[in-house]
Amino acid sequence: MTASTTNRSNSKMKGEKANLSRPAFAIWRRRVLVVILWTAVWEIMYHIIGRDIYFPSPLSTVQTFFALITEKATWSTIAYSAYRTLFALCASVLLGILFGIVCGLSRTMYNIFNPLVVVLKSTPVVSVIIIAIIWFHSTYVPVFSGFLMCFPIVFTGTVAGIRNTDPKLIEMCRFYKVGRFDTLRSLYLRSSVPYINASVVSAIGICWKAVAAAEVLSMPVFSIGAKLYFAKTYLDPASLFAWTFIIILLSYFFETIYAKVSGYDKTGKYQ
Amino acid sequence: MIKLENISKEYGGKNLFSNFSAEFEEHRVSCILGASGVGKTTLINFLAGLVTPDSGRINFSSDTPLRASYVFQEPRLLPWYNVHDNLDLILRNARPLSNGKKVNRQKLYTKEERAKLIKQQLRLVGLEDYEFSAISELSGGMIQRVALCRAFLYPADILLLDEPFKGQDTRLKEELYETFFRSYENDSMRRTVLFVTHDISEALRLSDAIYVLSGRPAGIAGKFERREFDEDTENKIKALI
Repeated sequence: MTASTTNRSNSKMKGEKANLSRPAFAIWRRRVLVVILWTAVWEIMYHIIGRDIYFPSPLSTVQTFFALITEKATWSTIAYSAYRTLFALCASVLLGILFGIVCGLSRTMYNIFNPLVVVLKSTPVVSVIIIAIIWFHSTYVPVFSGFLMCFPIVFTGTVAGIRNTDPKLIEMCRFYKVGRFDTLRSLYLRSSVPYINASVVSAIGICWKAVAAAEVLSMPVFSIGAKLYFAKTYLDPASLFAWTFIIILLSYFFETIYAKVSGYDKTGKYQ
Repeated sequence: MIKLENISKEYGGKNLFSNFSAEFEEHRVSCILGASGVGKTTLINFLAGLVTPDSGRINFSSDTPLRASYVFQEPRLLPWYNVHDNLDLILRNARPLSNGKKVNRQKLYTKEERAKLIKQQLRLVGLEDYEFSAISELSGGMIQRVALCRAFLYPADILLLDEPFKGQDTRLKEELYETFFRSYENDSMRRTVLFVTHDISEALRLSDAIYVLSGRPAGIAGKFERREFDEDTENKIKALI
């Protein structure tokens, strides 16, 4: 009887596993089909245009991509660009959250800092890069540009999170005389987490774009931007597409790592 | 005695209270009963310090200002914390009452004292197994019981309850009444309870005295002591609301 119960529970478990893997398989099948569809569109476009120099084929791009990732120098280039992006991101996230908290809690501080943030939001990235080239050494230009592009996003997200804290919970904390630090940590920051996470995820993509653009113009040694510039100079669009693909993958990788570390999912719920 | 003297309050051009006066005896359960919108919540918010009257005075028999705990209409628990952390949060900065009712201004609860108090209170109301459960894992009734625990844990002279049993079904209400009575009977601080409801049977079940609030501007239309409760009390209250 015990054996039959065990068998039954085992078969039930197998059934559950099968049920779990079915949606996962369906998701992957859908993803593969989407990739095939867009690759087909790309191939058709390539045949319509008919000139490698303007528009490379998917095959030549993939070949260039694999050729690049087998080279040791590529990994040094990726490491330096990733380091610059990470530095810019960390600075913008830390300062964005810090200033966001201060300005979210104080209307006066918000009125002082918000015009600066509005100006930063509207400033073209190329203007920031050119001014940074005048001010800094080439290796710091991408960091500065990435920081200035991402800071307003994190700042705005944090301010929105602080301002959307449930007023009834604020009243409860005030009533029970919860300490300022505890209120900030337990209430304001915790209720701002979904807003901060969403803004950081947006900032990651933008930071990679800003850093790459700044690298193209400032040309630091070991940078993806410099490789993009050389691809343009040597009329090598396959290389241009392959490096662009690397940036997309890196951005996706950073987002995934952040989501894992912070427990963020795209619905903004706590995990 | 808690005295409200000549209290006036206007809200959006409406005269909610005009020279309103009332007295509530200490160390017992008093109920403010009235129809929706009459000003019951505003009245206990005066005592909580959440709303300031336009004029008038609130007097307490003790020299030191009274400390209050509050059960809000909604549980107002932090959804990202578990039961223990929600209860611990309000105790971290609270100063225990010592020598009867005197607040010990020097002392804060230690971590061990807080943990012991939380365990005791949860055991009292049968929630000890849920101490480290996330708020999202609890039922609506359990969440409201945790809110009641929080109010009884906080060192205070007066407990204010704003329709804490509203919207619960009969079975859950019974559970909540049980939680309330157990906590009240075991309350070392013997706090004065003032609760607000529009449910007559709830008022008759829980309170030592019922104050019927009605009219605009609001006034005390009648007062009923527990010793006077009889079969006709409900009809008398209905006639006054």
